[in-house]
Parts: sequence; structure tokens; C-alpha cells
Amino acid sequence: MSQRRIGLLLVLPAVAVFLLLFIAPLIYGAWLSLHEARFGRILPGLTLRQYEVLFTNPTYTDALARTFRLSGTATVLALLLGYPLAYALAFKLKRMGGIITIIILAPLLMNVVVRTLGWVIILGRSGLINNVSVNLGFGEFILLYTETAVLIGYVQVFLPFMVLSILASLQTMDLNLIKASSSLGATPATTFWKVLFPLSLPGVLSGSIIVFSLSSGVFVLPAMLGGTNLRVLSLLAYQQTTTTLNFPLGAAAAFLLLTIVLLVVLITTFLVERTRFREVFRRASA
Amino acid sequence: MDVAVSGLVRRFGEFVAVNQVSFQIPSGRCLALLGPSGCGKTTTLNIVAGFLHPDEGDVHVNKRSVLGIAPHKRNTGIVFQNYALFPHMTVFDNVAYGLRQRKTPNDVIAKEVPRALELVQLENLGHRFPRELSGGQQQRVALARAVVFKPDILLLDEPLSNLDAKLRETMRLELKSIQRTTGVTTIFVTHDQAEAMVLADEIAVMNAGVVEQIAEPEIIYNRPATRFVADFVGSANFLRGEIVERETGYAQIKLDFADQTVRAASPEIGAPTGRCEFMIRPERINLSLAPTDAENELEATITNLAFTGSLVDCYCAVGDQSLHVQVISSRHALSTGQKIWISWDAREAFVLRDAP
Ligand SMILES: Nc1ncnc2c1ncn2[C@@H]1O[C@H](COP(=O)(O)OP(=O)(O)OP(=O)(O)O)[C@@H](O)[C@H]1O
Ligand SMILES: [Mg+2]
Repeated sequence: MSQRRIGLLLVLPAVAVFLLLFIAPLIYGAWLSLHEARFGRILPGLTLRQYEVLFTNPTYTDALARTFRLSGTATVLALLLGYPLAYALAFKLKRMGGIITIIILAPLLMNVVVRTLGWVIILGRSGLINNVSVNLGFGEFILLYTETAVLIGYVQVFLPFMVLSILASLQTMDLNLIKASSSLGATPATTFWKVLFPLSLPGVLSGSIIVFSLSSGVFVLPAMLGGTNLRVLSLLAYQQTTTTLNFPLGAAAAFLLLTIVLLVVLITTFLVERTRFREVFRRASA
Repeated sequence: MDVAVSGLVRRFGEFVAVNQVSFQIPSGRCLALLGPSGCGKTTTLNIVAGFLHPDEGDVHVNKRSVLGIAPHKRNTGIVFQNYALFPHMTVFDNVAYGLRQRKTPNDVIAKEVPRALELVQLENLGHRFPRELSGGQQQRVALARAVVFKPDILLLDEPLSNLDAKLRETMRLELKSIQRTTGVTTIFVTHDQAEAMVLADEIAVMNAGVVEQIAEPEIIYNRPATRFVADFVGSANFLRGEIVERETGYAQIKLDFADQTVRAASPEIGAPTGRCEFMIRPERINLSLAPTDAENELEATITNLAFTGSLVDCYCAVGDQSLHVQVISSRHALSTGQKIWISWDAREAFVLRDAP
């Protein structure tokens, strides 16, 4: 058997799984979103009715805005918290790196419901924060069922992706570049902004894309921490398909979410790569 | 700016990477740190640049210790082994980087950068990115970047090691002329002896963290202090014997491998008495087909011959001692097994400091 045929055979299972479990449902979902349903039954005939609902019904427009407000803010917060952490891990705390990495990764090893329940307990009316606040005389301070609560949850879960992604780009950096900058007279701050940060942009970008797309797709976390009033698009899609059984509307919501995330990712990538930092990305992909 | 390094010691854990290294470089001169891989050259350079703190010793520039000064305040130009050009900046911006840190006005930068690029013959490539340059061009950009802001000291860490032989030779001469024209005090790290010979005013030969000898290139070659230096710089024959008599600058040595006494130059101070080892370069041995009246003459048998074109490497044996002799090829019709007579001028043989 030729090398080429062995190669094809080796990728075949993965390709099959990918087509079956990812592409096929996607096409089916897109097709489904162009229909109407009554009592759980799909009616014949194509229509854009579901998308009309999504863009006009306040419940859905609110959810849409909230979804991207939350994921956008979560991405920025994760970046602001994650960059210093990754920086410290890469350059300052090399010895303790192992332990800190485990601590950062720990949230990912925990079941999502258990982890979120923890936040419910901490943030709720009889929760830790409120108790402390009341006892210290600061009055009631309830975070649960606010967007802040959802954000806290997002940042905790998605921070590791940001940190690991930035860390990877910092760790592969040529340390002589930092020495060179410093020998040329640049202060540590200048070296950071002129050399280190620009060269870590690929990590920043991929971390942001991961956090943004993952956080716009979760629904257990916003459901538990945001409550019934703060619904996001993914939660509505989930409810339409599992409770209301309006499959076309659920599919349309899911499809819209996917499209917007893809667009945001593509546009961001395009814009960043058009800046004067495009050289960084060429090198990263070379 | 003259640079003086005294008693540098740097350990990594138990391992002593740099051990009591001292040298002085007068203003405008070039010192080569020459030695095998892992002998502590880069570590020494990093200490001089301020990136590493020595465990002991001091670094003085113009008689003032610079140990407490951060690297970015030292005005040191460095060319790294891998060039370390900023990949996201054009050649122009790379070279301008040091000037911008010094708040140089833009109109001055617009004049100085092209001049530096001209110095390394890259005047037309300012708009390119490092990725778009050949290795030799990148190296020249790195050099321009390191000299454009008129550094007090220039540090070069094996800057030519990634180049092919031809380019390396050209760059060697270019480097030398740039060093001369800018008059910057230079430390140059290499493990290529030819490079060190061409470029340096003085060479410090390092071995396992220790400087074995510091001297001008000719002295390093003709009067190596130790066996290591003689062996690392060029090739050498090492002969052993017993010093039977000493005169000013010379020693009478009774050879171990032949019943004969020869004369060799010997340093006045610190030369061993009793057992000794001396070295002689292959091309400094005279070869003749019949005995002559020359001093230090030994009878030998050719064991092996290698023609390299202009030269012949002749390996011969005197007793159980083998010797490498290099002669110009056309003169002799030599053959293996042939009897020959070898001799040398006593000035060409040199007693090593480290007794066997
Ligand atoms: N950060 C470090 N930690 C531990 N050991 C080190 C460190 N840096 C250097 N060493 C050791 O110190 C010794 C000298 O290293 P150095 O880089 O100075 O060698 P060098 O002479 O520049 O060699 P080369 O020609 O290969 O570049 C080496 O044995 C190296 O393993
Ligand atoms: Mg080195």
C-alpha cells in the first residue's frame, strides 16, 4: 500500500466522525431553522419566520445583546487578569509554575454544575459574601442573578484558556530579543510594550477567540447564576429544543449564534492581521 | 572606554561556569574570547553586559564599577549569536530602535540609520522585514543596530557562526573594518581560532571557565602557555623530556623517546624544571632527506603522507613518538617508510607552562 493510501486510511475515521457528528447536524440545523413547527411537528415549506422572531421579539433581541455583552466583557476581563498571570508564570515564577498551572486548571477538572453551585452558595442571599457584608454593616450585597455573577462564573471557567494560550506564546519567545531591547537602551516597560507584547499577540488573539466563542455558547452557567430573567441566546435555544419543542426556533437561535461568533472571529483576525503587527502572525504561521 | 574585568566567578548551582576570569581591554581595542563549547564565553559576556550578576569579581568601565548599573543604562551594543532582530519591525526600525530609546530627534534618525546601513552595505533594504533577509544580511543588520547609537562597548557573541565559509570570511574583514572605523572597545566571542586571529588585538583562550592565556594572536600561536592553548589554536606536536640545563630563554631537554638532547625556547618565569613538555608547530619543522648539521636534528621514518594540494602533511615516527610535519608539496618526493631527518630552530619549539 502506498504512503498516500495509508495516510488516507488513517485520517478516514476522524473525518467520518467529524462529518457525521458536526457537519451533518449543522446542515440539518440550518435546514430546520428555515421551517415552522406546530406541537413539535415540522411543517413543510421554507420560511424565514424564525429569524424574524429572533430579530423582533424583545426576549430574543435582549438575549442576543446580553450574550455578546457578557462574552465580550468576559473576554476583556480574562485578558486583563490572564496576561499578568501568564507573564508571571513565563518569566517570574518559573519554579512555582507547576503548582500555579494546576491551580489555574483546577476549575476545568470539576463538573460544571458542582462548580456553578459553589458560586450560587457564595454569591446568594444567605451566601458567604452577603453574610460577611451584612455582619460588617455594609448592608445587603447580593450578586446572584445579576450579570456580574454570570461574569464571575465565565471568567473563572475561561481564564485557563486565556492564560495557557498567552503562556504558550510567551514561552516560545526568544529571550535574546528582550536582552537585545534592553541592551539598546529600552527600559523594561518599553521592552514590554515594544517587543514582548506585540510578539505575544498571536497568543492574545487565540486566547480571546477561544474565550469569546466558548462563553457565548454555554448555557448551564448563565442559567444557574443569571436566573430566569437574564437569559442568553444559547439558553433560549436549549429551552426551545428541549422544553417548548419548537425545534426550528431553537435551530435558528443556535445558527444565529454560530454565525455571529464566526463573523466576530473572522473580522477580528482580519483586522489584527492588517495592522503593523501582521509580521508577527506571519512568523507564527511560518 | 577601557574595560577591565577582574576575578569574575559565576556558579550555576554547584557548577562553576566562570572561574576567576580577568582581562583588560584598552579603549578602542578588540579582545576575542576563544574556547570550546561550554567553556563560559557567553556567561562572561552576559556578565559584562549586565544580564548576569557575578558571584565574585567586578567589571570596570573607565575605572568605574558598572555592576550596579542596569543593562539598559549601560550603553552597550550587542550582536547576539542568533541576531535577535525584532521580527515585527523593518530593518530601518530595528536599527533606529536604540536611537529612539535615546530620544534622538527624527531628523537625526533619518540621517543616522541610513549611514549605519551604508556601513554594512545594506542601504537599500531598510523597508524589509528580518524574515525577508539572508543570514548574512540579518547579521549585518544586527551589527548596524548595535553600533548606530555609538555604544561604549561592543559585545559580539559568535556573530559569524551561522554563516557559510565564504560569507564568513567577507564578514570577518567587514567586521574588522567597522570595529576600526567606529573605534569601539570590543569583546568578541568565538570558537573559531582563525576568526579570533583576524579580528582581535588580543585573544583570551578559555577552558572550562578559566582563562588559560591572554596575549596577542602571534604570541598565542607561537608561544602558547599551556598544552590546551597550543592544541586549541592550530595543530601542534607535543614532545616530552627532562630539563637538564637552563640558559636565558632556553632549556636543554633530554628527550623521553630518543637518546638525544634538544633545545627549546622556554618562558623565563614559571617554566617547569625537571619533567617538561614542549610543543612545536608542524610547519615549523624542517625536513631533509639526508643528515645536516642543524641543531635539534632527529632521524625519523615516514609513517603516513597526506597531500592537501599546496602542502603535504607528513606523519613520521621517532622511536615511539609520532610527529606531524608540514612541508610545501613540490619540494620533496616523499614515500611511506622512507628515512628522513627532521630539525627545528630552537626558537620554534616552546616549553609549556603545565608540566606533564
Ligand atoms: N542558566 C544556566 N544554568 C545552568 N548552567 C548554565 C546556565 N548557563 C550556562 N550554564 C553552563 O555554564 C557553562 C558555560 O556556558 P556558556 O553559555 O557560557 O558557554 P559558551 O562558552 O558560551 O559555549 P558555546 O560556545 O556552546 O556557546 C555550560 O556548561 C553551561 O551548561
Ligand atoms: Mg555561547
